[in-house]
Order: sequence, then structure tokens, then C-alpha cells
Amino acid sequence: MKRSSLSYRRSGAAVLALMLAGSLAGCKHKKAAAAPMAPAIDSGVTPTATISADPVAIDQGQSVVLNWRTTNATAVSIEGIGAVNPSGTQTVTPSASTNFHLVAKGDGGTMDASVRVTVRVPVAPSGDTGASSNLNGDMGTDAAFHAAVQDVYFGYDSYDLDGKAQSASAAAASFLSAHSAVRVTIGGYCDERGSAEYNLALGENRANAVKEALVAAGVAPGRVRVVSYGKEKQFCTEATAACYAENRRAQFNLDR
Amino acid sequence: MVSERMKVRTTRGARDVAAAVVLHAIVLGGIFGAGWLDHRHEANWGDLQAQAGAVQATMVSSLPLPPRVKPREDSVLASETPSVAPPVKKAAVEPPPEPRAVPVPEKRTPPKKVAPQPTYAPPKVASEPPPKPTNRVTSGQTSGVRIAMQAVKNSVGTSAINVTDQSFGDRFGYYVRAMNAKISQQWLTQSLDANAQGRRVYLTFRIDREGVPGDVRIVQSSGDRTLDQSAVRALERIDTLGPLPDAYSGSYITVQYYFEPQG
Amino acid sequence: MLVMRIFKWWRWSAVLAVTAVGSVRAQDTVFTGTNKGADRVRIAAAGFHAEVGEAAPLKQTFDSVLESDLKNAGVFDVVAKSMQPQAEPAGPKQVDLAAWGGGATAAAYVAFGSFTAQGGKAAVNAYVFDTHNAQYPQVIGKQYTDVADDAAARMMAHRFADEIILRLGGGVAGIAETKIYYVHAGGGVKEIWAMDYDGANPHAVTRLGGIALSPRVSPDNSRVAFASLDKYGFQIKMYSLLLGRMVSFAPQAGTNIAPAWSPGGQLAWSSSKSGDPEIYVADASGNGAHRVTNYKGPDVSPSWNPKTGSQMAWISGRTGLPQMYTMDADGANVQRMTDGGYATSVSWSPNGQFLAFAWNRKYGPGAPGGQDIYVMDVASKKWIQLTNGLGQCDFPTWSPDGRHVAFAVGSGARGQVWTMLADGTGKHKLAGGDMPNWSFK
Repeated sequence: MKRSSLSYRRSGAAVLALMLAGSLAGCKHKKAAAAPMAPAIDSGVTPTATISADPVAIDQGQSVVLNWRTTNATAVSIEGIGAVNPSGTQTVTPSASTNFHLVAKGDGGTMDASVRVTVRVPVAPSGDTGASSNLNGDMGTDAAFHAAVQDVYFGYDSYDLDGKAQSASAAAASFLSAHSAVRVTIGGYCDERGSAEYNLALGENRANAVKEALVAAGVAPGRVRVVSYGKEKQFCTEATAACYAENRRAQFNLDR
Repeated sequence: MVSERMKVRTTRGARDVAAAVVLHAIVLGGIFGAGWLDHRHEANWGDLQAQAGAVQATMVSSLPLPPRVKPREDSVLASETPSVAPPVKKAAVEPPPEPRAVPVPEKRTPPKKVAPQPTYAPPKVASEPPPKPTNRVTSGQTSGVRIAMQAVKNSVGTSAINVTDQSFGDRFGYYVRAMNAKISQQWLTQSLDANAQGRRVYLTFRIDREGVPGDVRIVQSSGDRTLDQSAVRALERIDTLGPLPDAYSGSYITVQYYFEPQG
Repeated sequence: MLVMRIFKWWRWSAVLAVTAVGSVRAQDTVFTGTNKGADRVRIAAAGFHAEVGEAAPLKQTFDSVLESDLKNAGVFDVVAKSMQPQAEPAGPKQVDLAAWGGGATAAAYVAFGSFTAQGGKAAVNAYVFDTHNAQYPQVIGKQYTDVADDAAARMMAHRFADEIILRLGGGVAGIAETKIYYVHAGGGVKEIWAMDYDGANPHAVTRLGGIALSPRVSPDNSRVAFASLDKYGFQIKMYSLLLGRMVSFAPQAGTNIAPAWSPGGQLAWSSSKSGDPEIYVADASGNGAHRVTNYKGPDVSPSWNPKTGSQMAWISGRTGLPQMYTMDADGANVQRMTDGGYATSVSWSPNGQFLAFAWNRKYGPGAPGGQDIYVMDVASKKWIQLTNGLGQCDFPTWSPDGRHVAFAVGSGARGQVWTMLADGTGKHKLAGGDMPNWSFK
């Protein structure tokens, strides 16, 4: 799955990665970023943090091995697990899809990393809209949801649905029509270029464009919630065209 | 013979007509060409340095900052650091022409925009310090007989100021100086007619305790309406001249002022 | 062939004529009655007189803050310390006006006085004298008292500097006592922070542990509006600076971002409650919200005309890339201000005459153009560029005196807040941060 291969890192990690890669050329923005400025990382060495999970998708009741590594950190914790060693592994058995969020704090600042473990929840026999899943009916699992519903990608500074985006929206609409109890959120995202405030509005338009397509295909508007993240939550933090394209999306999630 | 002569004449006539057509074409071409070029010049607002220079001038009179930055003559930037624009930018933007460079028009390509250089001559001011008031009030308030005006000369002309309460200028010379500087900064003379040079318009106005000028009156017209108006506008553009000095007990001061443009 | 040549020559001369006319016009524009250089008031700041002991370190702070404030003000020609008398006159009796007004110092005014500290209390007797008015030299005589610590010494210097700027700078009050609110990013969260106008004393205002953006301080400096991300997206939030805690702002449907205060205390912001981001206006508690724009596409980043309160500038993507527009506060009379590129983050100047904004004139896929700060004259739509080569500049904000513009360079955790005079000079970094907003008085 595409999503699992994306490491969801914060901008700080990207700076470091970029510095190491020495790939600053050709991007003004990145040049400005070359010197760490925020007071938080003015002194000391910025910690690094990576986390991975194996496998990234399990059936409910199965286990997954988390593997993390940090450097220059004085305090390391994983949300939901608590304080952990700077580097290590741990076997966990999440009952629902979980974002494991690693936070490394050091003298030089804070760095975080996260990995998402998707848990395939067994199908409830009838209209169970409980807290663990609001999927209903025959094949309603998170995995099935994400298999059937793909994220929608957009062109530069655009919130128009192109052919690919329309078919992605149509697929999502047919899934929602088949699973009448499922409610979704659509997150609107932008690449890191441009201005933060404008990008929040643009992200809103992207998510709304997808919502409108769903509504036009017969999905009740009340089942779809729209949240714009602008460029505040980047999937990919490199200054490359591929990365920008990756970030310009409307992402579906089950609304819990 | 006759017919031959006539033929010759006709040919000559045709030649004359052709020459006339060519000449007309040249004249018309020149007119339209100039018009077109001028139009190009107008169309690209903000894109030309001359206009950036103009906005600089507008800003200079509108920002509450003393003018000081001379716009770079070869760029629209008011930046301290010279441009380090990326190379691609250069391809996209025409480099500003040399001051004397004249684009050689070619038939196929549209002529380059001719941007007049903003010749932003630093207007000079008031190099002489304001004269010390020589007349001192010795026995209370007297009538405003002595008008020792503080004159300020600059490249646009001379303006002079007098506060009718004579002791005010003596005691609060700094206020009068600041006021004079501010008013002359607001005096825009670019629309003045050359005939106005050497003429004076006398005004009076009041400044209340908060420093707000008001009650602007022309005491003696210069005879030139645009000059009169420019002087009144200079005062109208000012929100405040600064609160009157705390040590001054009056509730307002009356100021006499004259403007005199110089070529 | 000859005809062509003649024709070419003709066009050539036409060009010359236009150039000449243009030059004359430019020449005229230059003569705007503006006075060059000399009318920056030359002022010297003497070191303040202090007895050795408690006062000595505080006096150092006071002296350096005062000098830096006067230099930052943009209206003074501050005499270099090395060019002025080394005397530290404590009062009017000690000051030798001839020495300050003459020679290389040649100051029109001199600021001096005494700094005393005793038993935890500090007192400053501060004067400004006119060096050329022997009979009535005093321009300012003030006494300031406060506790004897570094922050108080700094504040007293700010207050004295503001008094000098008011008296000698043409009646426009100084900004040394103002603050800049901004976004501080770190550890995966973004909070609202504040600092003094000169970058001193940076401190957190909010501690919400989430993503807080776009702080905007109210005209009475009592509240900060900002946008904060929760489960349901961005909402406008309100922090009371008087109470030191969050106060309510009526929740609105959709994504709600980019608040802006009118001079009368109303709030405009961008809300997508209709399904499309549009500009709304409500009171300071979020009540009575009504829409003022109605056009498909992103409408965001409003900024009121602080002078009139009856107009707004904002950013709209209604025609594609974001452009800057103005309108009346009721949505009428829409005018497009930028002719292309990528324009964002507009801020209307206090005198109502200018718009500062971020503009990337060569924006587009593959174009490496820079995003810089520009200022446009509203009436004529003419503009000048104020930054170049600093990096990605955004979020310009005017100081209340209209003499300064603060802005962000870079963004997020890598962002820096910079300041400059509104003519583009005197650029310097203040602190790490993003989305600065200058307080009112």
C-alpha cells in the first residue's frame, strides 16, 4: 500500500534529511531552511527519530513488531506506550488501526515520527456502529475501506477533479453507497509551496470538490465531513515534484 | 509626340503619387508607432521602473519616514541588497535598458519597452539651520508686528513659517522646525505650472493641542490657482503635527505660512 | 529598402521622443517636495549618568536600548558614540550644549539624564535639549520610575524613546512599547508567542499543544484572535490578554482561518461554512456572522483598512492563482489589485494608503521565482519591491506608526521574523517564528 510506504515526518526531520542529502540546490525555500533557526533547535544537536512496523496491516488479534531508533535524544516516548528506550523493538497487539507516534526530546529540540498500523476488523454481523468501527455489512473493514477508497490527487494550485480524480471519487461514492452506515472525513492537503493561509483555503476547496462529487453521486452530505490541513500536515517533506504531487491530495478516512 | 509627352507626365505623376504615399506612410507609421510605443508604456503598470520610481515618490510623501533611499537606477528594487534574481528570471523579465540605450526595432519582433529612467534627483533641503530668533519678547504679548519667519528652502521652493504667538517660536523652536519639515515634505509640486515660480501664497492655519491642523485660510493668493491649492493640500494631507508642547499653556497656536516654488 | 531604412529611422526618433517625454515626467515626479537626507533629525544620546553600584548594569541596558530605539525609529540620524563627547551629563546644569551641537557631533538635539537605583527601585530623569536654543533649550524633561531590574530598565528606555519620537518625529508616536505576536513552532506543535518590537523578551502566549496559526491582536490590545486545529478542522479562537486565558468565540461550521480586526473591533475571517471559503464578518465573540464575498474559489486573508474601517483587502483564487483584491466592507466594489503571479497575505497600512503583501511574480510549476514583500499604493496600484534574496518571505504586518513592516522569512519551525523600515531599509532578524502580527499602541 502506498500509504504505508510514506513516512510521516515533521518538517524538522526533513531539514536534517535534506542537509544530509545536500539536495538544497534549486530551492530558495530550502536554502533559507539550511540554518536551523527556531529557538528550540538553536542549541545542541537536533535529535533524529525513525519508527517502522512489521507488518503494517494485520487482522484483529494479530501482533505487529515496532522498531524505532533515535539519536541525540534524552527522553523518548511512544504515544499509547509511554517512555521507551532510545532505540528498541516492541511487539504490540492493537485492537484497531493505530498511529504509533514516536517523540524524541533532546537538548537540541524535539523530533517525532509515526507509523500507521492498519487493523482489519472482523465484519460485524449486523449494523454495528460502535466505537471501534462504524463499518456496516458484508465487507466493511478498514483495509477493505482503504482498498476500495483511494486518495484523490490534484494538480498544482488546483482543486479541479481530473479524470483520475473523478474515478477515485466515483469508486469512493460506490463504496459509500454499498455501505450505508459508513461515515468519512475528507482531509484536504497542499504541498509546502505557497502561503500557509491560502493553502488552508485551497485544501478546503480540494476536500470540498471531492465531497461534492460524492454528494452528486448520491451520498448523503451528512455522512461526509471535510477538514482542511493546508500544508500543516505533510505526507512527504522533500522539495521534489513527486513529493509535492504526493501532498496535493484529498484523503479519505473513516469518521469515528 | 503629344501622347509621348503625356505619357512622360503621367509617369512622373505616378512617381509623385508613389512618393507621396511613401511619405504619408512614414508619417503615419511614425505617429502610430509612437502611439503604440507610448501605449505599451502605459499598459504595463507597475512593471516599469519609472513608475516604481513614482510610487517611491508617493511613498516618500506618505510614509511618515524621512526620504532617504534613492531608488536604484537600474532596478525597481528599493532593496538595500542588489538583486540576486535567479537566471531564469532574467529570461522572463526584460533587463532594464541602459539609460541611453535605444532599442533598434526589427520588423518581426515587437520593440522592447522603453522604460524611462526614474531620475530621482535627491531634493535638497534646508541645508542652513533655521535662523535663531532674533526678536525676543521683552514685555508680554505684543501685536504680531514682527514676523521673523523661519524659512526653509528646498529644491521645490521656499516655505516659511511664523507662529503668531511670538514667544512660541522662541521657546519651542524644535516644534516649529519639526512642523516645517513635515509640511514641506507634504508639499507636492509636480503639477505646478512653471509660471508659478517665484510667486508666494500666504496661508494661516491653527494647530490645536493635539497637533491637528485646521482652519486653513489663504491670506494672500499667489495668483496661481494650482499653487494655492497645492499649499492647502499639503496641510490637508497632515493628520497631526504632534501635540503642542506641554509647557505651552495656550489651547492652540495660529501659524502663518508661505509657499514659494522655485525652478 | 531605402523606405524601410527611413521607416526604421523614423521609429527610432519616435522612440527618442517618448523617452524624452518620459524622462521629463519622471523628473516631475521626483520633485514631490520631499527633502533629502538633511531632514532626518540629528540627535545624540549621551550615556546616562549613574553612580557605581546597583544602577550601573541597568544603566547599560537603558543606554543601549535607548540608542537602538532611536536608530530603529527611522526618523533620526543618531550620532555615533565615537563621534560625540564622552561626558555623561546628569542634568541640565552639567550639559555643555556647545559641545553637543558643534564640531563633529553637530547634533541638533541631545538626550541625557541620570539613572539611579536604590533599594530595588529605579528612577530615570531624562531630558532632551535643543543644542541651538540657548535661551529655552529644554524640549523634554521626564521622570520615569520603576522597579530596578533589567526588564524595567528596558521599558523605561522604550518609553523615553517613544516620547522623543513623538516630539521630534512630526507627531507620530513611536513603537518602542509595541509587541509583535507570532507563531512559534517546535516539537510538532505551533503556539502563539509574543515579543517586544525589537525581538527582546520572546514568550509563549498560548499553551494548547496543537496547531495555532495567524495571530491577530485586537485594536485595543486586549485580545488575540487566531486559528486553531481541532478534530473538526480549524476554528477561530480568542485569547484574552487581560484575563490571561481563552475566551469564547462562537463555533462556526467548516474551516475557519485568517482572522482580521476592524478598527472598530469587528472580526473578519475566512470560513467555509457555505462549502467554499468566503470572507465573513462578525462581532468579537463570533455572533452575527454574515458573508461578504460570494464567489467560487478560495477567499482568505482579509485585512481591514485601519484608517477608515470601511474597506477590506483580501486574497482570492477566483481566477486561478491567488491575487490581491480590495472591496468595501459590505462586499461591494470589488477591485483586483495584482495583475498576475502568486499574491498572498495582505496587510493594509495604518494611514490607509498602502497594501503590503507577499508576491511571487514568477510563480508556477518549474519557475524558481522568489516570494518577496511588496508595497502597493492603493490609489494608483503602483508598487515597489522591498525584499529580495532573503528567501521565501510572507505575512508582512505594519507597525502602528506605519514606518515599519515585519514579515516572516521561511515558515514553520524554520521560519524567522524579520523587520524593516517601510522603505525597505534596515532589515534585520528579530527571532525564530512565523506569521508575525504587530500590536497596536
